[in-house]
Amino acid sequence: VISRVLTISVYVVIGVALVGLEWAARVGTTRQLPTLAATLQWAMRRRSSQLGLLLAWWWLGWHVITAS
Amino acid sequence: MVGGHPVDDYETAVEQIETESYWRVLREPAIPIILTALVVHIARRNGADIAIFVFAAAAILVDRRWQRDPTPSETLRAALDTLGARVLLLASCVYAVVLALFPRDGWVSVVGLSIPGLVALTLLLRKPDSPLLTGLEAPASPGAAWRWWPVLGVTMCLWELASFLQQPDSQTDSFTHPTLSSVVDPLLAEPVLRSVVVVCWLLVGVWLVCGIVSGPRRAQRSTSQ
Repeated sequence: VISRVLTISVYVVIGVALVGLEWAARVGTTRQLPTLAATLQWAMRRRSSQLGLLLAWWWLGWHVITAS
Repeated sequence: MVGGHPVDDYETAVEQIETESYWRVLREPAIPIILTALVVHIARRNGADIAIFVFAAAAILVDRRWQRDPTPSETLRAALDTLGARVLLLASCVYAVVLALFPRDGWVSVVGLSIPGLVALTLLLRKPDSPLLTGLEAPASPGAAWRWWPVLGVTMCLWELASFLQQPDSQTDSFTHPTLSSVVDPLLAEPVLRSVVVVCWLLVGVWLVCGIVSGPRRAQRSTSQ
C-alpha cells in the first residue's frame, strides 16, 4: 500500500510542479520562464511538431477517456 | 521572415526548401519521440496504439512530401474567427455531455473521440506549413528556460514507464505501482467527471488547431511571389 501511495504521490507532485511552473511563468519573478502555451507555440514552428502534437493530443484523449 | 531574418528572394528560399534533404525531418524531435513511444506500445502489445503511432510517423513523413504546394487557408482562418471562442466552448460542452451519456467501452465513445481528431488532422493537412512558404514570421525563441517543460514531461513519462515495467504482465495493472491511466480510470467511470475531461480535451484540441491554422503574424515579403 505504501508503494501505491508513493507511486501516486509522484504523479501528484509532477502535476503540482506543472501548475507551479505555469504560475511562475505568469506571475513569478522570473520572466525568462515561458508559459506552457508559449513553449508549445514555439515548438509548433516545425511542421513535424504540429502533426506530432496534434496526434499526441488525439491519442491521449482517446487512450485515457475510452475504456479500451 | 525566417529565423528572424527577412526573406529577400522568396523563389530562392522556396527552392532551398525543395532541394534540402527529405530525411532532415528525422533530425527533428517528433519522429524520434514517436518511435521511442512506439517501442513501449509494442512492449504493451496494444494493437490500436501501435497502429496510431505508426500512422503518426507515416503521416509526418508523407506530409513532408505533400508540402511542396501548400494551399492557402484564409477561408479556414476566417471561419475560425467567425465562430469565436464562445461558440467553440459551447459546442465542446454539448459534445462532451452527449458523449458522456454513452458507455466508455462502446463504439459511440470510440467514434465520438475519433471524430475530433480526424477533423483536426484534416484541417491541419490543409494548412500551409512552413513559415517560409506562407510568409509567416517564425515565433521568437522563448529562451533557455523552456527546457523545464520537457524536463517535467520526460520525468512524467519515465515514472509512467517505471510503473508499467513493474506490472505483472503487459495487460495487467500493478496495484502497488499503478500507471497514471489506471489511477484515473475509476474516476472517468463517473459521467460528470468524464464530460469535464472531454471538454478540457476538446478545448486543448481547439487551441492547437487555432494556433496552427492562425500561426504567427504575417510578415511582409520584400518581393512578389
